[in-house]
Amino acid sequence: MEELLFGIGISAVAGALATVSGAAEDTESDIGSQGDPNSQVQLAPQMGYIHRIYSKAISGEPPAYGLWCALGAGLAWALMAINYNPVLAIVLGSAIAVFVQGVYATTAYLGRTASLAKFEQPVYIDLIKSVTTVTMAHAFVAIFTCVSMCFLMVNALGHPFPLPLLGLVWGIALGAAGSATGNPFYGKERQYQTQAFGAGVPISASGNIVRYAEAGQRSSLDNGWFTSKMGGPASGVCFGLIVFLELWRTIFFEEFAAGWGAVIAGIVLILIFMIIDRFVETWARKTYGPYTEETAEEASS
Amino acid sequence: MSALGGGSSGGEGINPVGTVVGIVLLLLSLGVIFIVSPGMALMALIGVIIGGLLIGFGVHFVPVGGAPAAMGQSPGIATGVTMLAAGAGLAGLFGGAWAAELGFGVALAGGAIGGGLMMAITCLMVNVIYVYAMGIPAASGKVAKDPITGDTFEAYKSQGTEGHGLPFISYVGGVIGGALGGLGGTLIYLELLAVYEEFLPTALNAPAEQILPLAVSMAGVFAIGMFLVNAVIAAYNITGTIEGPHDPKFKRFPRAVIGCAVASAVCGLLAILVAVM
Repeated sequence: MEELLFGIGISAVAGALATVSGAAEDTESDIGSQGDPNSQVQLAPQMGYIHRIYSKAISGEPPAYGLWCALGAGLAWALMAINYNPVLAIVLGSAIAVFVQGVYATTAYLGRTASLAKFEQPVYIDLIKSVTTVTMAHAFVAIFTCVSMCFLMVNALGHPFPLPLLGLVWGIALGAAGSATGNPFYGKERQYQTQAFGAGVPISASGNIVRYAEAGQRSSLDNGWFTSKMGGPASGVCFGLIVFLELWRTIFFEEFAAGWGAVIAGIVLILIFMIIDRFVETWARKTYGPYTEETAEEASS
Repeated sequence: MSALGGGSSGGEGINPVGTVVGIVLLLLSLGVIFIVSPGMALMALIGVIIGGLLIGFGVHFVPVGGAPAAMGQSPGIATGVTMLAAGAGLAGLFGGAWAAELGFGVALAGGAIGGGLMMAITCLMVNVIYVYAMGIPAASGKVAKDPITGDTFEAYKSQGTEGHGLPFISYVGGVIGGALGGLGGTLIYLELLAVYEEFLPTALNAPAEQILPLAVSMAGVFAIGMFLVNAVIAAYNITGTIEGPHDPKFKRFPRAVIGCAVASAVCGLLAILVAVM
């Protein structure tokens, strides 16, 4: 019983770490503009809209976070092998991984933006100074919490994978959950804030992203401020639920029916989420109703 | 390349020359293993190939809208095909590897459910964002009616878009895709783990207890690598975006299944030869 309670406690801590990790990951990717909406940041100068938005999307979030978390976990594992304190090892491993992220972000911004020179998009040096460090700070939070969570899985819950491998697995899953949940909010609601609420962005508006703020030009830091209100926390909830429920169903139900209990619990959870999803879908259809031209005109007027 | 980012080219047919070359490579891989180490290693390679097929097939179920989905311009999840499939499949592999000591069947089922659960939560959160944060109901761009619920979409589609959000059929497709990915990834892991546990102690002249961490690590790394190989092949077959099992692009899966079988055979051959030779 004591062991079971310990396992559930660790699951809760890992779920909490995953929630923070997911929220930081999405906010970092929105400030750095690494997700799919970056296609519009790249497209805008080609359509004549010069902007001051950061751009570091030379790879998707999942492989990028797979690399950084595996790097952080690998370095922490190596330091622990030479008897470093685990907390210090994870902090140092994550910090070194963040420097790699910083190099990646800087070169990505310079490379991507310089490629738009023929469309007269300048490379802003002050952007590199102000935004890169902010993405690095968010990346540190995301990597540190993810690696800490992996450490708990190995040392407290006894998962057979070594720490660097778990860092890779959960880093990729973190990027997948964060980009899936957070991207639409950053893309539609922030970059196309001037478009009608409650409708998709017409393809004809592609590239016409919002470039001005209350005072002066919009900065990528403003995007992080905005998405941290919804896209970030939602990504955190998504990744936190994935980690917590995966651990909880295994620890709590594995004893039943020679391991099949965890499988049955997983099936029940999937069915519950499916019912909730159907409720959300039908609620939206009933509440918002069909798309009408008038709605779009009212919203834009 | 269309304005929506996803090229519609890629064709539907199966290239006969490519298929014959692929089948020859597959048979060659099986033949090499049969000569070097018939029995367990051969069965493991067949398991690896089946795992690769499951991953390649499963990726076609995952509703991926790519960049246009992030602007509510097309239905699906706003990320890449390989990215999402890998995220779900590896979450499944995590569960499957954990349950490995409980038996083959439990581990495979654990892997499948892990992948399915990851997708169930992710797809729900995608719809929550679309509905509660963006005020956009789901609408498919490929079919007029949801094959499961019977909901019609035309009236709900925003002007100038190809649809948006995740209709229920896409949600179900995502869960099935995640489950197949988790199942395939776990199958590859278990087969390779069995081979390494059997052959590595002899090859390295060390006791089995000392070899176990190495065997687990190697099987895990190779399983992740092969997962990505198969997911990328399937993504190339899809070319851009796919809504799920109701999308016309879904019919292309036989071509990906052949490609994944060949790639898994060659990768599996190398992964097994590492221990057997």
